[in-house]
Amino acid sequence: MYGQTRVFALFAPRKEKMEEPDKILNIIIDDKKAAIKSGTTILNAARRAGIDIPTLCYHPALEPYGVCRVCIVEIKRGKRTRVVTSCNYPIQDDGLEIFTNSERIKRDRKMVIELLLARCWSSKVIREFAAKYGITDTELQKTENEECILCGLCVNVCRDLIGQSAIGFESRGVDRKTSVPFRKPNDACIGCGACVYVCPTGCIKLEDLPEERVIERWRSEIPVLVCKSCGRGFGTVKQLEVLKNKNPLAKFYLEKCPKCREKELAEVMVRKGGF
Amino acid sequence: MTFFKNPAQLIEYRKKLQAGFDPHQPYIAICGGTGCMALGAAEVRRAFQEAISKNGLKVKVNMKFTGCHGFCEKGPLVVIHPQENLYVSVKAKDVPEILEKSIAQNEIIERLLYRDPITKEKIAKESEVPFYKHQKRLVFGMNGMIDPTSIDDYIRIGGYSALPKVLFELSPEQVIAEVSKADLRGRGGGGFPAGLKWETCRNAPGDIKYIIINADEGDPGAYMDRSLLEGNPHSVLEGLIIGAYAVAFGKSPAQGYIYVRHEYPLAVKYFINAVEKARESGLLGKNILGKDGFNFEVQINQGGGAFVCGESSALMQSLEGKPGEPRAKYIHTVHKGIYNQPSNLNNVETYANVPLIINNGADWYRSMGTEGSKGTKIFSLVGKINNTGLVEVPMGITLRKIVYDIGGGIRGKRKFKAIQTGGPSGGCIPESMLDLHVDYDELTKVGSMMGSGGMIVMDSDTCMVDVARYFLNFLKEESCGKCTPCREGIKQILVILNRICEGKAREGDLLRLVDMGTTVQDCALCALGGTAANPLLTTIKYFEDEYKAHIYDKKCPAGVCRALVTYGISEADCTGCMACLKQCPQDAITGEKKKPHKIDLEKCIKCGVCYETCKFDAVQRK
Repeated sequence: MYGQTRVFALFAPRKEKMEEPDKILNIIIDDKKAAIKSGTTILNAARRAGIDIPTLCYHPALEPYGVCRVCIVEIKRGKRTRVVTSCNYPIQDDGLEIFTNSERIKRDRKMVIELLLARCWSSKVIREFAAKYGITDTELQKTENEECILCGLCVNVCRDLIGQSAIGFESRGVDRKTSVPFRKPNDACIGCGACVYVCPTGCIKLEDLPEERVIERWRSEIPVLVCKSCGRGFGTVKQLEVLKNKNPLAKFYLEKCPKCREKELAEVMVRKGGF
Repeated sequence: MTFFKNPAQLIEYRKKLQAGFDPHQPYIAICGGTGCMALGAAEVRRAFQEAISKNGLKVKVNMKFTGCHGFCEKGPLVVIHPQENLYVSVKAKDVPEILEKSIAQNEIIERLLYRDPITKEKIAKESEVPFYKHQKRLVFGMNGMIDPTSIDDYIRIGGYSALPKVLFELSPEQVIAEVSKADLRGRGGGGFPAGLKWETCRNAPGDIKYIIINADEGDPGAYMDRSLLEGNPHSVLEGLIIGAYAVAFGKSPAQGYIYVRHEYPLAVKYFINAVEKARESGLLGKNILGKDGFNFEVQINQGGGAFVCGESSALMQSLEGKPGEPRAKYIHTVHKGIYNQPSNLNNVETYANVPLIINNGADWYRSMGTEGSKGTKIFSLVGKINNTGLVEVPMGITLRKIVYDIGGGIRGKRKFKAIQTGGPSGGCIPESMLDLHVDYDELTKVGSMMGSGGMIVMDSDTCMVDVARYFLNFLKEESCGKCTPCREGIKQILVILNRICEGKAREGDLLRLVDMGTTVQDCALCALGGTAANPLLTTIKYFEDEYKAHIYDKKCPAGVCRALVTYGISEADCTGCMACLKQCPQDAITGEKKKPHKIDLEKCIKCGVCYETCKFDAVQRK
């Protein structure tokens, strides 16, 4: 894959929405005291405190979806404890106690990972991920040839960041799949490859042929954009169309590949006598 | 249709209706509920219509085709007013006799009366039939008296009297205080205090407030919301309008929605009719009943058949036109619901309780029920019980009373085994807990839940492993598949349950089930997943022996799981009547007349037809 630099500027971490941003709350994460702004998610608070919580369906640039359930933690308010997902739980109470690795969490997390492992036995990424938590095999019924954990990152990135909504889910329950409308090639896919980039298991494959970019999973075959100076492909034609609307850049800038742009810029600099 | 510009006009209109109604004039109320319709109520109604229109009866008689009366087991039901005599299992051919004897001559037709199966006594009065006698029908009682399509009927019996009181005598805060004081808890399952929900929604900042009725009743065997909407839609609508006033008036505009199942066409039709009539009467629209600035409209939305859309966040997604999938509710829907605006969602039955509380006061309402649960609750009592139907009972009544006094006990000679409450994600309660007082907290304590009020009674012929398998299968089909524990967990639990039922259980399966069930309960995203393991965990808790019999002895004590059952014929008991032999679809039974028969186990497919057929208990199931 080449020529992705511009698109991925979009992947800057999302700013958290704060209801009352000035409110500072004192919380306890695994016996560590921390002061955080109201509305911070547990995941961010923990990571800031140097505590690692595993995630699969979380991406800092996207609104947390909270479906893989790997990032669960136990919270305690008063006498009540409950299990919540850390990626989308906004802390709003002063004195909240959080346990990221309690016995209950260890057991639940292990089971959730085992369930994912049984689903994606063919995925090397998931097998390695599970091994980190001491699960190397499972007694549960294994599904063959399935690498997608249905984290929804591809669907969400396509809708929320790229703004194309080319992909979505089909069916429900155990039959749920990521898919494209009517399982047919669709116009909305611009072949930007954002879905490939965010996929945690690498199950979406992108192939750049001389003439077109192919994303087999979405049945997309999109003409490649050719650099006006060197003739090499970079990105896709549709991607350029969408980018033009998102970011008003000079025409010449979008017609040439990053390498040629760099070269040209360097030449201009040299002509002008450097910085 | 009168357009009421102020409450005085409404009161005047009610008086006029009441004056025009002669309480001594006989009228016939035919139950048009789901159960009775299935048993032929439509034909009975047609017969009455024809008979009344053509023959010159001496006595003038009216006929009402009402909503569900509740006693579905004995339908079609016909009640003769003003005597309130109940006729059960009425057929079209009985109609002339009823008109001639009961109406014209005020006689009672013995053969159509309800016969108590224990005392063998015939009972004429509806209120004295044991099924009704032990109930407290506050919300549901009006169903039998009114035509659900007529707003006049509802106004005549005192409907829409709470609304003017609320609009002109109480401030929204006072309404909320009254509902909070009455301790009305959500009837849809969660049991969240309605007053608190209204208050939170009222105080939540937003440009508009959405007030929604949840009528997406999807539990197998439950139909209380359906029967309320089909029998008394105006009571629900009145509760909704009061709710809108309490939540939004003086703060922001309000918009009402009802999310009702597409599979309830009659409920949809009647509710649309109720909304139209209310609009024509000035009870919906702008400046309702002349109250300055109180504008409210209701939109009807039909669900597409997903069980999960009964969950509040999924319902709101669906209302927005998105796929009905729940989202995390760490920020509640009362703060951010539809289009991120404060949204107040209550169940049909919750709204129907509101006018009663306003009319009679919170203290009256609090006088019924238990410490934590006040008022009454409608249950749909189904399963292996004599009197199936809808029952409304005060909170705190014992399960035993519901099963034996109202339900009339278990069908046939079999014994009570368990009762499953709260729909598919409820739990199974064993016989030892029959004296449990039914309310939100007690049911939760034993691992079940109130749910929307389904009650399924099971007898000794029910296999509890099979029951768990049935409900989990239902939930597997209805899971949206968004989160891992629900989608993958339920599937894996079912894999294990299936192999237990097939006699292929592995070492440690029971422990694995408990582990997995607990994780699904802890980690699922929404209430569907969070409660999905209840049927599994409660059956393991209370019927562990049965699981062990399946796993270790490879036996199904109830004789349900085919793979674990063998059929045989006892030579001593077999009379050689050849009944089973004729019925066997596999020709697996051989034998001659008056000589003991035999089953060829190679051919037998374990369908159990011989077992059901044999009158001499000679066919044995092991």
